[in-house]
Amino acid sequence: MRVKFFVLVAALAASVLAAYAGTVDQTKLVPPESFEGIADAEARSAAIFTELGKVLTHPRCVNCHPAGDRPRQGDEGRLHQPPVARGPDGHGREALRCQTCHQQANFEPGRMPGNSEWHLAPREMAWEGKTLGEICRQIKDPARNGGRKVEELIHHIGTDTLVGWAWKPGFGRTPAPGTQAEAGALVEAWVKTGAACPSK
Amino acid sequence: MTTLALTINGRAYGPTEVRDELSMNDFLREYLGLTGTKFGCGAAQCLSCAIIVDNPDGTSTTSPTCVVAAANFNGKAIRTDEGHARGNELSALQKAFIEHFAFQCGYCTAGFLNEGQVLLERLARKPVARVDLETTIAEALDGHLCRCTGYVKYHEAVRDVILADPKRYLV
Amino acid sequence: MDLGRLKGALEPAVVVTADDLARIGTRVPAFYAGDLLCPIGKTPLYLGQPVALLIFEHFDAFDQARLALRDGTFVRFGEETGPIVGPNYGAFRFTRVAGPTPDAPDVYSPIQAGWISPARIQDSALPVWSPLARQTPANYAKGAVYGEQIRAELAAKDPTLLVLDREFETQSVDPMFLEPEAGLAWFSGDSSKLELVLGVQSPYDAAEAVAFMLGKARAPFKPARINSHFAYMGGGFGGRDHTPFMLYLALAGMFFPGRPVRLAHDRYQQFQGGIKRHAFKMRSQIGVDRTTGKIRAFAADHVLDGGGLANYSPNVATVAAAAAIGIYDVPKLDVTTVALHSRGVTAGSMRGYGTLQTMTALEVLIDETSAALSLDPIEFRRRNALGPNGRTMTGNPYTVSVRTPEILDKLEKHPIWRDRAQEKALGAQGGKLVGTGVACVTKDYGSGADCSFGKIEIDREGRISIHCDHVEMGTAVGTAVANRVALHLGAVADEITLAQIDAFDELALVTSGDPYTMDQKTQDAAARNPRWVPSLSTVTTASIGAHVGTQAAAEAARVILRFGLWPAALELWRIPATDPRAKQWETAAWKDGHLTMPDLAPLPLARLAATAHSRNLVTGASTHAFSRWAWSRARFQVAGVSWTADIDALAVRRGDGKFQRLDRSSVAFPPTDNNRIGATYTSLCGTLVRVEIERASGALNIAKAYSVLECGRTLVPEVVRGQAQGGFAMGVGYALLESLPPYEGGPGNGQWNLGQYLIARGSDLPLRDLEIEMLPPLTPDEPPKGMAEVVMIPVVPALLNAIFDATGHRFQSLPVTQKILKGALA
Repeated sequence: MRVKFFVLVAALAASVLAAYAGTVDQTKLVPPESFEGIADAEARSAAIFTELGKVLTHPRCVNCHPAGDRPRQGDEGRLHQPPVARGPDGHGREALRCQTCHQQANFEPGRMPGNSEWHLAPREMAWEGKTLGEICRQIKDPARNGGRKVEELIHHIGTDTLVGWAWKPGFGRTPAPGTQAEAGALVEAWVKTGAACPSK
Repeated sequence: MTTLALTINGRAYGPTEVRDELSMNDFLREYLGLTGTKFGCGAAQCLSCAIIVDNPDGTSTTSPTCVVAAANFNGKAIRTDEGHARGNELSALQKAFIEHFAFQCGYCTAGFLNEGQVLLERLARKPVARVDLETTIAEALDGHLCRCTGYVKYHEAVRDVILADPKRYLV
Repeated sequence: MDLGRLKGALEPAVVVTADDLARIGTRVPAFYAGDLLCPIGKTPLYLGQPVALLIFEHFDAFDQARLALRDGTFVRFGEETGPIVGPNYGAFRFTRVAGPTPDAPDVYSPIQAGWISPARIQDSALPVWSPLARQTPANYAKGAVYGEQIRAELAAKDPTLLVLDREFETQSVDPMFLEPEAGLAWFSGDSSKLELVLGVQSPYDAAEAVAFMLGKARAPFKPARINSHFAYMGGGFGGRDHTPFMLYLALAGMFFPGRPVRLAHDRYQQFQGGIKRHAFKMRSQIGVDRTTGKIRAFAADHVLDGGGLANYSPNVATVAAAAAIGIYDVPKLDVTTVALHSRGVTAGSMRGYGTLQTMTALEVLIDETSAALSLDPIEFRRRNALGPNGRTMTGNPYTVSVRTPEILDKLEKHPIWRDRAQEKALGAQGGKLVGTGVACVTKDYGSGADCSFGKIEIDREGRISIHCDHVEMGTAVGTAVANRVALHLGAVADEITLAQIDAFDELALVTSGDPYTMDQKTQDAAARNPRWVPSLSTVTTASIGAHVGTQAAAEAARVILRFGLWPAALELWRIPATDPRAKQWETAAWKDGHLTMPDLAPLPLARLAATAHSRNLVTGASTHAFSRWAWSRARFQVAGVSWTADIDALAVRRGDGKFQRLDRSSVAFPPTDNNRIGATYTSLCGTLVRVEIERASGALNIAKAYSVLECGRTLVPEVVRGQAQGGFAMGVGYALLESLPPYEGGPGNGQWNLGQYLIARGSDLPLRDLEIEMLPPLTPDEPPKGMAEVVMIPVVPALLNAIFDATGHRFQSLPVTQKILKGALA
């Protein structure tokens, strides 16, 4: 009986989420409080991560978390032109370093995005082609997240300047949903609710 | 507005006040009349606009000028394609481009010249094995687009300058 | 327009709208028909149609303002009306029925019957091709009846005939020359002179178009004089031929009098407003005798998307149709073609001019046909190749060499072809899909009414200077002209000036009418005026640089040699006029800048020039040449001698004197009936490619390639090689990479750049494995042939055929991108 009840609640939560996603503005992030209606803590945690997933799977993030050695660009996530590769340090090969074009800040007249830390996420942090569940498990794994504890992700996503660029990407690029502060709040709430991952 | 002072082809320019949003390409072409640097796409895709930046540590890289603010070059030393020849004496690479008929319309040529020159200087500091030469050249030049030539003779010209002086450029 | 966002530092000094153009009385030349600026209250004719010209006094204002305009919300729109529907730009039918034997006259052909078009049906963009339609002109009906018969035969399910019926679609692409269109205009109001600096392929037509546009303008918008300066261009490829850009440039100057104005596209604007290549939808039917493997009949229907303005659409349609059978001898042909108006960006001239599209479809079809007959693809081509005396689609033979068997032999013997089975097997072992493809095409050169001007002067020191009207866009026409002149004068020029249209006033030429449509009687009457020519100066296009661009200069050089340097040589060699050698000027040879004759001391050019000057011999010549598929030929009296040459005007200079015009004593212009010819000049190119495809990703690597071509006398071999390499790269881009969405989402939205539009990079090409072979001229005196277009074409179908060989998948549309390949292989 217990199991059945649990399954029922999980199913309800999923359908609430599905309906929710269908009607909600994809450019916004809802605050952690919106999930208090989900009684089960694990399900609530996973749901918060799913909301955060709107940011993580957005082109602004995925483009520099590619599966291979070449970044992507644009809202359509096309392969980066000119062809560039991560090189030994993730900052480009010798012939064309990231910093050559992507300087300290966005250069609006050239529609060129920029940040002092511009570089590719390491291969173990690739998100391209992964499900939310897979990204979640990867992001929690110290072997694959740069040795971070889950709590450190609150700072990384909530206040890091390169991550922060995603919300002010310059002309011709859709910003990541919501604001960096809102994303940080979601990370914090996710951590506080046990950092559970969506099953898929 | 930002103060801009820099060295171009060995000559000091500025200090001068420039708008923060003035591109280096427009600064060179509009303000200084140095039209050897071209404008191809304005999006760092073709590198027709690339110039050479000489770093204090003795290394050099190329840089596009269309997507970078002029202000970002404050305090830098750069070379444009006007700076390769010494009077009427063309550089080895310029001569090679002519002998090989490497360019056709010539619009992308300044970029290729600057990139090729940087490669020559890089190899002079860190030579490569002969067997790696073609790949090294291809990697260095691949960012540059050309619509006329099909690239073959640009690559051959750079290669032949290197092969003419193997002690300097090759391991 | 939301001009409010351009306040203060961003404010334009002048805003020019459609109302202003109407107010000042501008006229749009017929070729460019359509509103230059979309008026308020009207639906734009095409995506990206300009709405206004904003002129800024300072660069800084312009630089800041353009940022405020780029989000596409500057222009306000009213209610949605749907796109403007317009009549088609031209429809044609090409039908030919050969006689019972190759020597017998054709039963029907365009050259006999004239070119035919179906009737225009009101309110319908599409023509009615049936000969039975109402209002069908009689001449159309006649040809269409033959055409329908041919189609009926193809549809008849004749068991002796293999019939393939295929559709092929090509995409819109951009010429993507690296230098965006730009120019300068300066209207000095008080002196009423308009100065222009332009980079165009058609200097004469550009100047005429601007003059027409402002010809009836109201004061003070009508310049008394227009002075145009034509610059070298950073690439052209047809995309700088007859574009409306120069009209906007001239207007910018006129509306900002007293100061020079610059109009320059950035790359977003170049994609938006620049001329594109036509996208084609083609249906082709081929009927081949199963026993003999000979093509019995071919029918095709072409539909071109001409975009928003007519531009060259009708011409592209006809040239493409006439090339639809490529290198093959086909006794029964029927091709319909129509160029439609659409709301897309305007399509016009681009390298290949429609033949790239039709011959790609053809060579893919030929490959499939030979496979269906179990015939070797090269053998099948050989069996069906048109011979030198064979008749083209329009019913005329070529008048130049036709070297198809040699090209096919070269392709067949090449290791890329010979080793294809072995390489495929090796690839399979390594888990790669390897395939080899072949294609062979022939491309006409010349447009059917081409001209050149050439003026040469030699000074006392033997320095040669050349003036020519053809333009430089990377094709090295200056080098070609200088090299051809050097054949006659022994040295490469010290100075050459191109794109000259007003440096030949000494010829005092006049023209009238349209050389393409003039009738014989009118031409004969006009020709009686010794200063009349069918056309003064034409576009540098259609691969004519080598054989047209150099013609007038070469003829001028011959005049200087015959009447200047040769008499000087005779004097220095002390050969009297009575000596038989005095007439042997054509056997004298140049060696290392010296004129040589057997047993005589070589004479250096400088000495000959000095003598020619001091003896008041001919030291300069200025000529004009015209070709309508054959050169005009005229006779002149020069120094008491009758001189006949392939030119129609001549002026000479003696010593340091002025140029004096010599009226021709007779002239034979090519007959106006030649306008029924599709082409008489052609050159061949064949290409082999080997591709390696990664199944999982669809990534395609061109491992090796070989192109073999013939172009008569090669004026500058390195330039021909460079064109072949560049053409290969452009073909690769067209086949595998380049594509523009036709309407919404396409470049008309002003947001396209090279991040989305991918042209070939070095890494896309077999830079170390691209072999180019140029056949030597067939005869030592074979004239130069145009080749700059043909070298781009065969690589495209060769790639598609290689992809089929590797994957078993025959693509019928372009481009075949990695994504598409991956999908097909999944």
